[in-house]
Amino acid sequence: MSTKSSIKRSFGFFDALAAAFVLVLAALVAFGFYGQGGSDGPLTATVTLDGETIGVYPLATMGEELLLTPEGLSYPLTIRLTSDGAEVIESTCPTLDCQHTGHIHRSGESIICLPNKLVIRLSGGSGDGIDAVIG
Amino acid sequence: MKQTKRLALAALLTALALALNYTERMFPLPLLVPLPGVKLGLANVVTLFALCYLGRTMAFTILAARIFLGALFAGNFSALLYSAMGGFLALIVMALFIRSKRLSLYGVSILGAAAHNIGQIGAALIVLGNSAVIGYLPVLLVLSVASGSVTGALSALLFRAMDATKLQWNI
Amino acid sequence: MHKLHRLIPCLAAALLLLCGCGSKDASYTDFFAMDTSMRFTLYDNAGLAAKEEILRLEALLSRTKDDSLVSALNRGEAVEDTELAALLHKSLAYTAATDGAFDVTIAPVVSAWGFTGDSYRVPAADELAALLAQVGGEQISIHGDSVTLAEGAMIDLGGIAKGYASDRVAEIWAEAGVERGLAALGGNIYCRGTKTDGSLWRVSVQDPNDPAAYVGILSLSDAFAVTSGAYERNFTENGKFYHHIIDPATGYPADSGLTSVTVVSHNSGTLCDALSTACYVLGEEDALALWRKIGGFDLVLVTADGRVLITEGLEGSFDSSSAANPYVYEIIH
Repeated sequence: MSTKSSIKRSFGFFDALAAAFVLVLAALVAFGFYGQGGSDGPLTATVTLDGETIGVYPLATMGEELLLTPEGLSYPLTIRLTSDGAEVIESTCPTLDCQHTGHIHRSGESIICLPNKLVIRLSGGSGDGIDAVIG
Repeated sequence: MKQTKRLALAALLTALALALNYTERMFPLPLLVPLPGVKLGLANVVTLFALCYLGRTMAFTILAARIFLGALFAGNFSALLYSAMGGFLALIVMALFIRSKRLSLYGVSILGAAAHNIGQIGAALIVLGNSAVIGYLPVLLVLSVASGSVTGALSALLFRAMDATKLQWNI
Repeated sequence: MHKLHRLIPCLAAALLLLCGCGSKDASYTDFFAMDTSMRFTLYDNAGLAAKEEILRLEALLSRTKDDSLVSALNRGEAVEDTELAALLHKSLAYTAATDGAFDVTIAPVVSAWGFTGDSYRVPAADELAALLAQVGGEQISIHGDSVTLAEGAMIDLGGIAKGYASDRVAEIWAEAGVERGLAALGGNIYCRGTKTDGSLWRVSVQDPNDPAAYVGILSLSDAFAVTSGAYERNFTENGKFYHHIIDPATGYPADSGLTSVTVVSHNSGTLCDALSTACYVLGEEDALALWRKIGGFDLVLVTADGRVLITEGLEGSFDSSSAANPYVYEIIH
């Protein structure tokens, strides 16, 4: 057995190809995931708890803000819904990633609180190319 | 290599992997991907090294030890799931490509890092039960090109140092 | 290290990809005013000054702010203000044109139903009859810039303030040289020019029966549009449905066979706002008669029996092809 490794050690063409492959994969997933934006109608927030939908909120015509404190959470938190998006403004979960995600406003974006198994996901909206909703 | 030497080396490498795991917390990953437990995967350097110098079985054992101890230190189950799915997927992918005559350490590391992140998102999918986590995969995949390049560079450095020793090559 | 120089283009590519996500031409300014969320869609900062104007108007015209001009009027004080006088002149003109269907003096009745706060109730018939005595254009006296109300009368400009605000936004944007933009003031919109790709602004009209769907999409440029509907504010008591668009003739929520009214105009947001309420009260027949008589605007009426009526001025600007609903669409000539 030799004492030198037989694997190449300098960056070559095929490594760049591997990198490009990963980047293309990233783009495809991004397109497939976020490109689904405009199913039907205006921006809507869907809140799911442990895989089950607990609320669907059409945001586009929301006049004032809506504060939600879903029941049955291991770590209670408060969600703020406005006509252009959602954010978690208060949470008792250990990592506070949900709060740090900040304000989401685009279709496909989501706020995830893993300790609570809670997901707030936006859909609709930009897909139809609608600039405003009156109603 | 004598058995005791192998064992000592394995233990050393496990410790190194755990240390790398800890160090990568310095990178502000939660800012980009707010999923607790998700990691960059710098510890894959150790897996790669083990694959090249000690064989697949040893690589697997070291990985398993790192995952188990890492979860023990972190103190929660979902960390174990992330590490496990990410680590093993990376191991499988790297083991597959390491014999390639066309890819260097960099290519293998990049693909390993990508596999690592896909595994982690898979784990998040299982834990959360909601496909929303897939939204973070693109960012992680882009990052894996960078982190894979870093681990590739580290490996290249390491392997050159290894050439100076008398450790037997073992693929 | 001689290997690292290949690392850099890799990292650079990765960073570039990250930056590319989600960059748009337009920038959005969101704020809260006049009891609703508002958004400007602009391509540079020149139009932001309009936000200050809206806040100024809110302070001036809000019935719920104690130090506003309207509150002073409602307390029985005389108010001298050019702008308010002009706005009330317009209100009176709309009252006359719509045979009283639009009337800012309906305020005491709206309050009696609890729509001013949030504690809804059904007032007794005699209570409403007494309050209706204080409703009517004659309750407002305007001499020059000075305004007073008759004893016991009160006004609420909620049905016209946002429309007026949108007119002011249009004026300010014209002065500031803003070429393109969209101001969404709650359910009142004003759009200017076109988007950067030359396409018209797309405004969807919410389906009164399903908040997540729309009856159609308006393609507009340099236009105002306002929608009114019972679904916006309402309550149910003893199985009966009551909403906030009160018919000034009866004191009760308008029951005219319409579920949603949208008014579109290229000239005046104030007109759109006032007429959207008025046409809801008037019902299909009288609203269309008004359209034929005075013109200068177009309508989209959604009826309780499942039809969507679009006046011919909007033919070609109203797209219902992607709206999946059982409505029957008709163009009115």
